Amino acid sequence: MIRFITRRLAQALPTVLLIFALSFFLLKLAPGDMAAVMAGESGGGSAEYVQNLREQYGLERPMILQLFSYLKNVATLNLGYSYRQNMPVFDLIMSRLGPTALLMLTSFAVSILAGVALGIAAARNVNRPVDRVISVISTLGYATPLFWVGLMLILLFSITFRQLPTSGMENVAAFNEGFARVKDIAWHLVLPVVSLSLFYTAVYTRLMRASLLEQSKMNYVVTAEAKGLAPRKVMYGHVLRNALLPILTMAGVQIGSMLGGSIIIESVFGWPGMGLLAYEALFARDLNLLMGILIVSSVMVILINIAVDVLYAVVDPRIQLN
Amino acid sequence: MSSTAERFFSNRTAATATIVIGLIVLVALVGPFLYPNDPSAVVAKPFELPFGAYPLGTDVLGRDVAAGLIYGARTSLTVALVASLAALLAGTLIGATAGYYGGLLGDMLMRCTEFFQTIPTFLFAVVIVAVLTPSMTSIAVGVAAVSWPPVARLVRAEFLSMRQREFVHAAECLGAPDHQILFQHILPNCLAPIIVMGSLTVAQAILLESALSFLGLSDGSTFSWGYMIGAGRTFLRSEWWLCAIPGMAILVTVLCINIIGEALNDALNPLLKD
Repeated sequence: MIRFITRRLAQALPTVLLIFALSFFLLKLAPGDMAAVMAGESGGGSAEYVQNLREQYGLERPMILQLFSYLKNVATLNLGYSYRQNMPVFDLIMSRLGPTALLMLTSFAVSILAGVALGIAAARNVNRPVDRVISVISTLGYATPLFWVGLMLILLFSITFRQLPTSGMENVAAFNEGFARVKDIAWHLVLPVVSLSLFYTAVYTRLMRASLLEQSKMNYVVTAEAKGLAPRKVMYGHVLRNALLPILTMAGVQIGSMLGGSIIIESVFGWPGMGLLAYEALFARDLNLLMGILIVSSVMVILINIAVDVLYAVVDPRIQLN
Repeated sequence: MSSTAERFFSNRTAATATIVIGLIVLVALVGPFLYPNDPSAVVAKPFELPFGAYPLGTDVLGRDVAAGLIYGARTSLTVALVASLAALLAGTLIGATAGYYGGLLGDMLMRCTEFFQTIPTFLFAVVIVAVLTPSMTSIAVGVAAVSWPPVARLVRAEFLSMRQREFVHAAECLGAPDHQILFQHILPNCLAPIIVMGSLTVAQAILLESALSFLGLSDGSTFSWGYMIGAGRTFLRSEWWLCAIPGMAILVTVLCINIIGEALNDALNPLLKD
């Protein structure tokens, strides 16, 4: 297990370096001198800082040497300083990681659970009304812009019924502690999670239905039925386990997309995570901060994918980690 | 081919979706001529109710919402189509090369494709648009840049399975040049999945474009549905329809394209239907 993880980490190294290089070239692509771009356009940093950056990255030297000094800086977690936010970029991103992780992991769990449950309900009632209704819901979920769902949910549950908070992660003014704080955060979490999960629930529902239907044609199902196993036991003891594998694969693929979705959901709900930070960076034209977020979240996606691979081997013993 | 069309249109949902999309495209094409109001011109006092002097009312600046919706259809569809075509072209070229030649070149191309798939799509698009300075062109570039990898993977898989077929060997023996084998022999046989993929790419591109414009990543002078939602967002409490109407437009368009894509899939692969 340890050896597998080390090997996967080593394999991921070139990808990580490529991501650093990509962000370097994107910074180069922005109009204007790279040092000025990194210091924040429209007068973020002082002239001294810009000059400092110019020397640090050796912007007078050939491009390839500049790239090397950029890689060295990023690899040592030096992502620059955000004058807009008055904090080193890396620290700034780390301080926003928690809320994003909370939002994403909850949405991840909710969409998989809901998708699996709806998929089972649809597959057990193929071409009956239940299946039709679920299919209509998932088709709609597939076609609705995330941010618009968020706005409409705010309209319905926060403005019309006044039940749920419109924005933020907690009621800071209430100075909640302990369980009361957890409850408050959970209450704030409801709408963002529902908005972010809708699309992914639709994806997993369809996949689960298709996967269950495919598995139910397999020989082992015939055998299980022939030996007189109750349909419920065939379903939950045999078919479900096998049908879950494609869901797990898909979940690994969707992580990056979900991280992107959280940017827009966070900016709709004022959720104080990395996404809102990206939105703020966008408005301040703080490209270097934006690049830092891109780097950190890409590395996160790689790490989560390695975790999914390990999980895969735990769920399916046929897959050998070596 | 006629039987494919018959199968497609015998699906009543798909036929309806095609008509709706046809109408939306028609609005985008001729709407600006039939409904001459300029979407960015101030025509009345702000927040006129819908169904009054202006069919969908006016927005915060007193601009005609209906005109915005019509011009928005034009922008959203154009950006999505251009970006999808670019993504399909790039994805097909890369996938075809990787699938047909394989080897080191194919490996490198697929590594590159996977690399682009690890970067969070939406964030990558946001960064590209921000770096290139926001405009409709940079939004199209951003959307295209994140849309090609799935196409490349699909096309590679198709070409890989085709390259050992007898008709390909025959063409090779006859000394046909590579480009002829790739694009005149193999490609036409892979067209069905690429067309289906293309329709889904367009639908996703519309969603992406609307999300980018919603975040304020457009140049502000071009109307798009996402931009209208972003502009109306502040007034959600009192003038909710300013957000609701353009959102419905996006939902209906994307929904219809998805339905058409699925029906195309069924019509082009009659054997796969369960």
